[in-house]
Amino acid sequence: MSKSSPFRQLLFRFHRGAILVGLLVSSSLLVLFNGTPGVSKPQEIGLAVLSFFQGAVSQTFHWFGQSAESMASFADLKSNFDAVNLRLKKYEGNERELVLLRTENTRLKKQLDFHSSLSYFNVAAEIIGKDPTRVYSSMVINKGYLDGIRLDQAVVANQNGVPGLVGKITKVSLNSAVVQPVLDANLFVSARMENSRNEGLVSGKGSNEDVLLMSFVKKRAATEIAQGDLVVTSGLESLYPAEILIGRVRGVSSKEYETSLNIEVEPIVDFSKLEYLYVLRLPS
Amino acid sequence: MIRTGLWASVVLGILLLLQTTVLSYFSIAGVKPGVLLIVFVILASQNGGLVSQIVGFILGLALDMVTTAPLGYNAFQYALAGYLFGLGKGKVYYDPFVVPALVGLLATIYSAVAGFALSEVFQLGFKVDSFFQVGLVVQLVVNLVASPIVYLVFNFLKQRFQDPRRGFDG
Repeated sequence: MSKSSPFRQLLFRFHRGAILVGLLVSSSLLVLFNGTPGVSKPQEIGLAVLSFFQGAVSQTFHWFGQSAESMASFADLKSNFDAVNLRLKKYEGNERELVLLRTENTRLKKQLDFHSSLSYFNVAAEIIGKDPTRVYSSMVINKGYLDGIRLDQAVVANQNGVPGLVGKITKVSLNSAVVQPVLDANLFVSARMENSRNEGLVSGKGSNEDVLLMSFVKKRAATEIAQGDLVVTSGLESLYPAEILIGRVRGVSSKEYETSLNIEVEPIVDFSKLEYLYVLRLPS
Repeated sequence: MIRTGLWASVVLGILLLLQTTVLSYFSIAGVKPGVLLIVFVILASQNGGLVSQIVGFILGLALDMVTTAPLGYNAFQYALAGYLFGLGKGKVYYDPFVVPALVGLLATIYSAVAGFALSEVFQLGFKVDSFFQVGLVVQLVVNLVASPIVYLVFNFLKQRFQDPRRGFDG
């Protein structure tokens, strides 16, 4: 018997229709008896089972959603972090600049106070160059003839609130000048001991040693001079005004055949740290 | 046939879970695309009425369990839909857009009419407005648009996972 025989077709149609009718009747009965224990109990069990899977799916997608959000948040955080980091670096730069400016401001204030406190008319100048071959030798300042700088004018400096002699002007151009420091062996300054008032002549030793030599002090003054005594300018027949600090006595020595003492003097000014100088314009 | 039914049940079961969880977040004017219904009618039109009415009944029961609908309400609707749309087996040839859209449109109309009829027959207390209002128009539009997309995705997955020798439905 072939598959397309009327009997089999009828059977097949009836079979399918019977199943459909059965399903629809079952559905209808379930609806009709909805709420009764016989129907609601299986529904509760089914709900419990399905809700478990629903929860799993929901939580999985929730996790993915949260992960995506977290990743987006992380990306945002990273970009924010980079931006903040950049800003922080900028602020750090600003802070460093601020600290530098404050330091410079303090330094300049001190210089300004010193500038005002000097009893002589003076010109403040900044060192713009130093002799590269000789550390403690000549210095170039940014003030010159047009600013009233002339040859042989005395140059002083203020370090840590203590004013001290630096040297004198040896060259002048229109806008700059060259300062010869007292460390130079060719520069002689008329000086005296601040306490004992013994006079002498201070000059450099002609080397890079940070030490001066005071000579022509009479031998008998040896007992009056002690280590640490201050040496100041005498102001006698000199380019330099009186009572400007030169240095402190470091040591005293003499040779038997000589009539004067050799006194080593430590300069008040630290020449390696000089930045600003004051050129004194003495009344002629 | 059993293999076909199992495959369809698994696919629709997964879709049921997705429809009641993830897809709940995708709504247009308060209307969610009826992905489950669309896939079911597409499957029914491809698998035939005998399998589809049984699968529809089981699917409807599951749907009744996770919704507030009385048990049997969706089972009735889906079993009947399985039978009716299963009649199209071998007679409906799917193109990428028009036929899926029409099937989706028909399924939506069927769902509203069947729902209303069941409500009236079993005196479930729903008003006519619950089935035939602006929401239905929006649902029709949403499903009309969603159907080709759903069909496209469904077809793509079917081609990816079906057994080349025995076919997706065995």
